[in-house]
Amino acid sequence: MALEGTTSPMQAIGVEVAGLTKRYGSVLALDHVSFDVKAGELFALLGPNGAGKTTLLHILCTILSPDEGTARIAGADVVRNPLRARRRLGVVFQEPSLDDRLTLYENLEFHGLVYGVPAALRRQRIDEMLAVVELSEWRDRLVRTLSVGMKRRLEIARALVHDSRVLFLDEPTVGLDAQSRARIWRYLHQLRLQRQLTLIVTTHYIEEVEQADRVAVIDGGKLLALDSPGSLKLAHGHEVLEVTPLDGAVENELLEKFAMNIVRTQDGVMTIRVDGPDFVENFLARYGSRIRSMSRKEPSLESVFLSLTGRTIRDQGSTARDRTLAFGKQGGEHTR
Amino acid sequence: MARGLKSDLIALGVMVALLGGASMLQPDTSLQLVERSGVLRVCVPQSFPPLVNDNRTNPGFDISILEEIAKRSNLRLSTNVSATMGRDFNPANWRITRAQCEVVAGGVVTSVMTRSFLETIDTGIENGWVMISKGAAPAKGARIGVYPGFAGLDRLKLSTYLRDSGYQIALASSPEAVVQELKAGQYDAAVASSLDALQVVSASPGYSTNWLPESLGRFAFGLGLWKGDVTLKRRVLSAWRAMQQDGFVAQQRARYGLIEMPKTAGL
Amino acid sequence: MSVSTVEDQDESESAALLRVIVGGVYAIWLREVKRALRDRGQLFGGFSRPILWVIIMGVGLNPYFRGEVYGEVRFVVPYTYLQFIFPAVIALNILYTSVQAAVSVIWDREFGFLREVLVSPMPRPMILFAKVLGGATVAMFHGSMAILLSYFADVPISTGDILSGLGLMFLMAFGLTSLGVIIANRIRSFEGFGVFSNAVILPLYFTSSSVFPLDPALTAAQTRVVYPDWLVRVVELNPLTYAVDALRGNFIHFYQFDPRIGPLVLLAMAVGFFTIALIEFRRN
Repeated sequence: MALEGTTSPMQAIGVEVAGLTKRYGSVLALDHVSFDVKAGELFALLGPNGAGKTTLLHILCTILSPDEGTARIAGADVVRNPLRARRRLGVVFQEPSLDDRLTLYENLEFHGLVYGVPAALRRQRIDEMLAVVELSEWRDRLVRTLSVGMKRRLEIARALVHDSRVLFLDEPTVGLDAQSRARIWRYLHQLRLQRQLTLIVTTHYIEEVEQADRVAVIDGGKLLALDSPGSLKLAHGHEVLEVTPLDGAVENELLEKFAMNIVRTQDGVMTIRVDGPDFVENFLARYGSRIRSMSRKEPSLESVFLSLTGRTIRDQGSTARDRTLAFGKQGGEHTR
Repeated sequence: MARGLKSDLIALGVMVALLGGASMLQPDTSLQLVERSGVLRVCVPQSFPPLVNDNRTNPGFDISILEEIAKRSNLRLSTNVSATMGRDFNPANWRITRAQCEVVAGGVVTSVMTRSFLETIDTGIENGWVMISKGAAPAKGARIGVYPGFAGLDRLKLSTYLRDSGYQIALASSPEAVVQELKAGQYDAAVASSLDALQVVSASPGYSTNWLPESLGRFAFGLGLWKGDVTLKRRVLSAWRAMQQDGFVAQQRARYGLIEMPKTAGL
Repeated sequence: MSVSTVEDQDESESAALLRVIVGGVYAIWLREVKRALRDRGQLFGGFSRPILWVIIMGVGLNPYFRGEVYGEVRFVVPYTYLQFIFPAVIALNILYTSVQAAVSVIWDREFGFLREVLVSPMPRPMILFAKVLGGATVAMFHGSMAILLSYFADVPISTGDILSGLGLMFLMAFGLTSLGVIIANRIRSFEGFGVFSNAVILPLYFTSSSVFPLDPALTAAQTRVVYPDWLVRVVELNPLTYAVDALRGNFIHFYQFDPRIGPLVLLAMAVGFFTIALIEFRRN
């Protein structure tokens, strides 16, 4: 409320979320989520699939409306003033949302027109942004001729053709090779400095979360933790042992003995939380001869995630939608 | 942008050019068949003056026009006289078939009804009831000679109209009779179809013609071609237009006394 | 490198919104037109359909409909068969293209481009309006491609006919594109669309009195002797019948119904279908 009148460019708060709730029938997709993102912050959203990340992002992008609570983008309420909120945010979706049949320039021009960017500024911005993502020489090529990485770069450029203050990036680097990922982050850091952008990112890549100023962990529609990566690791991270038992008897014994500490058992590898300073020594003394292998892992965000949600971060399987897309990509009827 | 737009416009141009080119394809063989035989055959009634006359030197307007069209297309005109044509109002009884002729002339009315059966080319000759009088409209109670003729105009409507106008009606048996009675002063004025009226007026100095209201029936004559013979129709039509341009049509109108009549002057 | 910015407070909200709407409608419309030109398959369809219907079918059937004996024809309409179906071929081209424009709505939804527009400051109704406007423009253009064959079909067309015809064609395209969007909204899986489009386009076309007339010279009672009652009923219920009638009246000056009905039905279709599409679009 306090921010409703303050439109200073030095906005202290980029995004405010208060008590956001969304239900799909009886399923609670978001359960009273509240947090603030400071202007210019790099903010990471971490959560397994179905945790409510996408729902949250869609509400913030004004595609969905919440059942309860409020959200503001640079001071503009997404429910009461969605058009204003949309002018202040840029979105890079996980799935490409470019038009394959238009050229790079035409895609950016479309965006500029739809966001009401005046003609002179539009042209200037398009050239600037194409230069930032190093696609200037491709401007008159059709988008369908671009690689996946280039398309992602173009989408980032597009989200910045208008005066976006908050940039949402939903898995911006998924499916890209390490080199392309590094490149995209280089652009993002550069733009963040140039434009005082607030970045809100969801990602599966733990090392990308490490560079965030703050991380929010979401699961089951609830905000489980919110802090800097370092503090999160201190508070929730644990050293873990990854143990491969010699045989079933040993496995059963371990299961019984460390029932409280076992985080998961997968493909014969047991992940056991290190509990106390003498834990590893005692464990080795007792089971050292009856295990095939053992490795000791430093606290990581992955372990934070694991201990908070009990799950790893992994990809989901193919859905009906994916199949339709595959059908279209094979050149199904009346395709693009 | 330039690149995309250019190739878009090229694709568009190719499509338009292809369609335009396809439009020039020959839709049928009617013209080809006529040209192969070298003869343009026309079905006409025995007599339908002044469009078709029973007379070698002045064969009638339609025939003269068609002869010229044939000549300009390097064809020979062959007339095929149908005995029933012009006598019966139902064309189905004329028994004219595609095997006999390519063109029908001598009283083809270019009405919507005819166009259900034939393609028509309007030759600009109108038929309708015409008042033949000296100067202005005859006064009430005047004696009017009526020659109904064979043109297929509505006689019932005419007699109702004349009676409502307060005229006395006398039936004449021929255009010649009308001329005689007018001269003799038996009729104050006369009514005939516009085709017959011209014959009367040319023999009666001092008299002029005026159209009776269009509601009594007015239709145009033309040339008829078989439905579906588009290529032949195009040839005939273009020859007709050329003849209108170079004055041949006007010349023939004058030759057969088919002068233009004022359109608006009703009584 | 310098990065330019424009502050929102430099201008009023309404001026910004107006620029968004004008620019956005233009952008979405332009995109539809560009995509249609770049879809060579669709362009070829717009080209081949008139060729097949007017040139191949028209010439092929000409001997069956031409005059043989004066006073006796199968086809009691003051036009050749080719002239009679010509306006319907224009309608067919519009019908196909409109439904294809609706297919692009599905692709936009599935491939995510719709989201790019949905998160933009364009008001939702304007997004749909621009989309339908673009689709209708393309469909009208495809309809005009058929007009290029008017010389072949022996349909003389004046400039006035073309202008009023474009108006009618646009109304028709607008209504049918909206209808296509309504249908597309109901289609979740893509594989079924081909069947669906054939189940919509061709039945609508063939029952619109496009390839055979409900003879206007005969009375209603006699019509039912010529064609079975159910067929006449179907044709009379099909709104496209009146749309085709309006086009026929415009291009060959032949009406089977009151000339006022056609444009009214076209207007009602455009307004009605767009309103339904809009209500559904806002709900999603």
